Amino acid sequence: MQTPGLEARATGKKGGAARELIVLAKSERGRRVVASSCAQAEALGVHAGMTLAHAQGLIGSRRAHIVEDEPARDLLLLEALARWAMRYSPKVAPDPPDGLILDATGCERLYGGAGGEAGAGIDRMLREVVAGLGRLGVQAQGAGAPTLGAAWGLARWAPGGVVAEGELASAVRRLPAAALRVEQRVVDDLGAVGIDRVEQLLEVSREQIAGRFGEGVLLRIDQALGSAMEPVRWLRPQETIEASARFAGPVQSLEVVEGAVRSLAMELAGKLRARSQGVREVRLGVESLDAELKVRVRERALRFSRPTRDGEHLWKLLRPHVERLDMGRGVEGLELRAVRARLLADEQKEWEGSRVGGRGSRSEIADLKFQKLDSEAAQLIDLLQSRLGHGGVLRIELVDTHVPEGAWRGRPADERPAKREATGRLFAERPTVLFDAPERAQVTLMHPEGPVMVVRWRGERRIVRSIGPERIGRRWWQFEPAEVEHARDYYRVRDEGGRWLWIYRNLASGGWYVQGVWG
Amino acid sequence: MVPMDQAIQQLRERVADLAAADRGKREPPVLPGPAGEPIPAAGTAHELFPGPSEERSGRDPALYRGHEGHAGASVPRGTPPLALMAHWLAGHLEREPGLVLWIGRGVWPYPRSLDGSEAGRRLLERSLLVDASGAGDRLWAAELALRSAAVAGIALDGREMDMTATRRLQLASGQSGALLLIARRAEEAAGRSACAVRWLVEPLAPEEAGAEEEGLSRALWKVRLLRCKGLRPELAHDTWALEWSRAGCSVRAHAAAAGGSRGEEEEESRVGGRGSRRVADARAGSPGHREERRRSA
Repeated sequence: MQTPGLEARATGKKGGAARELIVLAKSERGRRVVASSCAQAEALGVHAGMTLAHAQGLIGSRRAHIVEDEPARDLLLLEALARWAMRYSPKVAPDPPDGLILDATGCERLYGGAGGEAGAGIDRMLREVVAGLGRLGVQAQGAGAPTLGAAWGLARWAPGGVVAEGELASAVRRLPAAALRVEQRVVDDLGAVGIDRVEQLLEVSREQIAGRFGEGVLLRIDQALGSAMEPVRWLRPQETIEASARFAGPVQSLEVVEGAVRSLAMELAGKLRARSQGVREVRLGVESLDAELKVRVRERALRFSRPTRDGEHLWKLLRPHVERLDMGRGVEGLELRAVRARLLADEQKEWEGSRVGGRGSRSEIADLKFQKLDSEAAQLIDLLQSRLGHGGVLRIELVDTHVPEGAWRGRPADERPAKREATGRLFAERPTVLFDAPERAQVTLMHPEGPVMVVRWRGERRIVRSIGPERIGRRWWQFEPAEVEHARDYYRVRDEGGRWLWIYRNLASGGWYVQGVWG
Repeated sequence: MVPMDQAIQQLRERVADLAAADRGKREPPVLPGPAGEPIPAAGTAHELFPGPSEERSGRDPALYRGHEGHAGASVPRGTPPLALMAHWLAGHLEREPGLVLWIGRGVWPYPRSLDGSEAGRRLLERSLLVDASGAGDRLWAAELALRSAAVAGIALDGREMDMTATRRLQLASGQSGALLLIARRAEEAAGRSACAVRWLVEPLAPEEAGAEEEGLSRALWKVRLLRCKGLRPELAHDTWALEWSRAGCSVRAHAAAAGGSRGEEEEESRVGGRGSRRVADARAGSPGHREERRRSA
């Protein structure tokens, strides 16, 4: 027994409102051709298969994005759209390269059609799906039919309608032969003998079809008309891991709410452990009554620097949020949801470079110790960041540049470290304290290009030792003005008291500055 | 007459010291190193003061790099002894795995000064810079870090920390295996503090360390152990002259002042690398020849 199917054909890329033209290009046999294009481009005459140069000529001077066609990326997008479409039907499957299959059995009730009005209900459903996709920026067209084969063909060649059981045969007959989902060369073969539409094909006897065009064509005909089964691999819904609690009545006691959130955290941790997963983000949803006794749901999101399934750690980070909660007239329900869950074992390997590593039992123990340190470190970072902010805890990254203030940057501790740049070892002495902003000073030299004698900076210092100049920032073979601005001559100077300063003269302006001290 | 609450406080501290010393197994808070230099131990709070203002020559104290982002806050107070702190933390990392936290922008080192040696690079890799500005935030972060097993060392900006704060830090450090170094301001030395170990770090002119050091091109500091509560450390001296040598990211005992034996003269680090570079080394007042060092970009 076939179930009514419905199919929407998506063009697989964002057409968007009238903002920009988008053309997907690919390389075929050495030429750059258009793989597909948005509706606006098609209105100008661009179509798939034409050379890119031709297309650009048609586009003229309008703004256009020419993007590389990446089928893999399109597949991912299609799968994401299929998951999105699960709000319309519980059974959705992506149909590459550009289709979605939704099983509409039983869904007509949601759309206002029951019993005899099933067709109207599905029709409304179809229109809602297409409209929803349109809001996402995807052009789509679709059709509904009792069989998948028929729906596939109708969606592409006769979109917009829903075919009921009785009209199936006549609708299929009117379709062109290509709507049967057979290979292109079979379609060409059929065309060569003058068979363009399915009804013409049906006039030929089955043995002849099988003999001349292959068994597959017969199968496709049967599938379209409903006499053959067609299995579909429906998408499995992603299960959200969550824990929730409801109270019998509105609760205003902070202790009770805290206790409930804590047990939810433990429960969630248990579920994660059962699946060997860790979570990087959780959402706490609180359903409370506001002053007008209306139910209000508020969500807070919490992120972790590394996936965790430690209930205590979850609770420690949730606690300040719970304490600041506005309970209104009372909390009625709580829900703790894991938003980004990952297999925990995988992620743990990446951390700082100080691993002992290797094989052998001794390093296994050391590894375990490091793993424990890792998780402790991650917890500490989470706690610090919860109060000081994302940028409050930084790791040091050295940057390969001669400009002293740019020679390092801080990266928030919960981001993955970027690939380590090969920074050359610096053989020059650098101060331990570098000022954020260099301070002006007056410097007297013995003679121009000579050693430094006096530095007037926060008091007058007589310089006893002067080492330099070290020129930084100007490549002698380049003359761009920007480079010249940065060019500086650095000196290391020591005053009578033993304090070493790092000063420089800005070659462009001639001014002297103190940039660092040895502390 | 000592006021009552101060007397009680002193009594409390004495009792705590006695109780701690009673435990027997406790280590002294400062250990002697191989070359006679001091090595601070974990388990207690070490506070470091920069030298007092150079009153004798009538100059302002050097700048303390702890401006909090609002105009007018970068008032000279004294430079935190980051080189010494980095050296001690790097040394501690050789013995203990874990992270090093630099709490407060005022104690963030300039990373390029530390990447000249293996110990220094390891320190950089394991470092976390914590941007906590108010004294309350810094105290909170430090306590959190002391309680965490993943932390091996903490460099803390200890400005504006009062007696309560230092007491909390001293207590928390007692139960932690992390090395806690607190950088404080010169004028705060007059106030009371519960930290068990107190150091004084001042820049040292080579002439004072001995005539033959005059040609030294590295920074020298005079490090003095002012106070050390708890077990008496077995150190030969209480003052050292330590030198910052970038090739080793280390501070070697150069010569021990105040009646100690002289350390060994250490060899010049080689400035190798691409091409030949010659150090420009001009002495004030000497007409000697100069060579210039050019950096190839």
